[in-house]
Amino acid sequence: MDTAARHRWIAAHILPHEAEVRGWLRRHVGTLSAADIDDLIQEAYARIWPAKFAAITQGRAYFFTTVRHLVQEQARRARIVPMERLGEIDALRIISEEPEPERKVGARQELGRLRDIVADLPAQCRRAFELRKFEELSQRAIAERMGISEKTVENHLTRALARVLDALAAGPGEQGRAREAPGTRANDANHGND
Amino acid sequence: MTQTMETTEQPVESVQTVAARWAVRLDAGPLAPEEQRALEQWLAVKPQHHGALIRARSAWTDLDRLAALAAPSSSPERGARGGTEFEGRGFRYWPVAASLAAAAVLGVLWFALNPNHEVYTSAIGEVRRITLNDGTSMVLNTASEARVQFTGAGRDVVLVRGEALFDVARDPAHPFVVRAGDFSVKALGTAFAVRIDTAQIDVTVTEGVVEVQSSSSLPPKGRNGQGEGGVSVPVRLTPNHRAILFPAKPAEIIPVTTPTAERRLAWRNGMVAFDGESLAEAVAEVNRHNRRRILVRDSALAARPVIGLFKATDPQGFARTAAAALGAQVAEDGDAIVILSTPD
Repeated sequence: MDTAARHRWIAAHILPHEAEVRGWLRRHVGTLSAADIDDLIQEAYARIWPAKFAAITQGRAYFFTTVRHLVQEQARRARIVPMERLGEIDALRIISEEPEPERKVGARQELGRLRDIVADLPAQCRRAFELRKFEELSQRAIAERMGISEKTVENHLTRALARVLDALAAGPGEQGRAREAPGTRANDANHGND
Repeated sequence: MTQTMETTEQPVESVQTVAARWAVRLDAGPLAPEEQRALEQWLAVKPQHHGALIRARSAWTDLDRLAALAAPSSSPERGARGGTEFEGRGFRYWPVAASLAAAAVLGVLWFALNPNHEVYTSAIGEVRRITLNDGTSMVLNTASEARVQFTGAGRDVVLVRGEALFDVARDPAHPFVVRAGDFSVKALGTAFAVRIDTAQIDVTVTEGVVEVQSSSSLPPKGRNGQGEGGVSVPVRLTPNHRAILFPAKPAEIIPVTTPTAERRLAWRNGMVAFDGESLAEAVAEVNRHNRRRILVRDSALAARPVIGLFKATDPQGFARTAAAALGAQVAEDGDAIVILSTPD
């Protein structure tokens, strides 16, 4: 499996469950801050990356298990494991063993969400994104077409991707709220690079 | 990570945004040598950066699918987030855990000489709660056997195999003594557990006091002391201490935390708990509770640590979870569940 195929596998089997995993961490491991959860999720991707994907039958369960194990490692590093923490870990384990849920987001609905995110991007940003993804122009060609620098194209695309990543982290409900107040999210500002 | 940015005066990009920038940059074409160095430096800071880049590149790749989207989008799914609410599990009483060995034979011999006793057994996977005649509560863990004899002189229990937890009814006139292998544990407080395992006794006290000594120095009726135990003088264990005892060796006494003691008794709730024990040890523990065996076919894998609370009677669940956590895989071999390394 080449790198692009591995990215597609992650996108298909892991990414769709990120919001749910984050939600579980928030609800069941009360000792974690938002930054802790970001760290755990990011480290989980690093852990999952070298796995033999063909052997993973349920991406969701694998994601949960990986994150749970990271929580356990943190607990171990803290040396003292309070019972409630073990209970939290147990709660995570139980949920991770559920069969693939009915609430599994359909591929089509997931695409719809992505489309909505793109639709909400600032005009220039959206244009750059559509030229890259829909018309498959290179970033250099986009720069020429739009009369802007390649660096600015990169900034636009980075902003578009960051928005998508925010939406992945937040899940469908949150993303709906984000669309009600476009431009208010801190992460889409691309500080210092526009 | 947006929070991180908001709390910073400097316009510092979040890890996610840096990752998104690298994902977009990598999509544009090969990196110049100085870019390659910058990327490698950033990735080397911490594993989260690597993960964030994987995440961003995966999402970026996934956005290719948008090109194929012809129909208008449907509304995003809302709500429908289910899940079990976590219920904290409380421990009502504070026992003493003791883990014991091999010398169950001695107990059998003793009872051969003292035939007037009750025998209690539990099947594999069973946790059996028994109230003894004096009101003492005895809980047998999986595959355990205890023989109980109450006389005018005292209350004697021999743990033949397995593990038992005792919540002892107060009766100073009749000492409550549990024999396990070479050692006896005398309850001076309220509750304790005894376990026969490999070649050691492991006693953990969280409340009350117990006295541990070599059985040979505590001659029971009709039996003369024999053998040289290292613990010929009784050792008193106070709360939050654990004694590890081998025949003919000095007792090793180490302090423990209350959670550790609780963890050791997770079996009362049908659970087994591990906090860094090797996979081999964890598998042995899970196997105590189940007819269906788990095997580990890789010594390096068997040495890896396992952490977590597991249902004792779900070997498949344990194997699956442990394998996933350790990057291993699970296979079936006849009736056995095999955990083995992922060939890569």
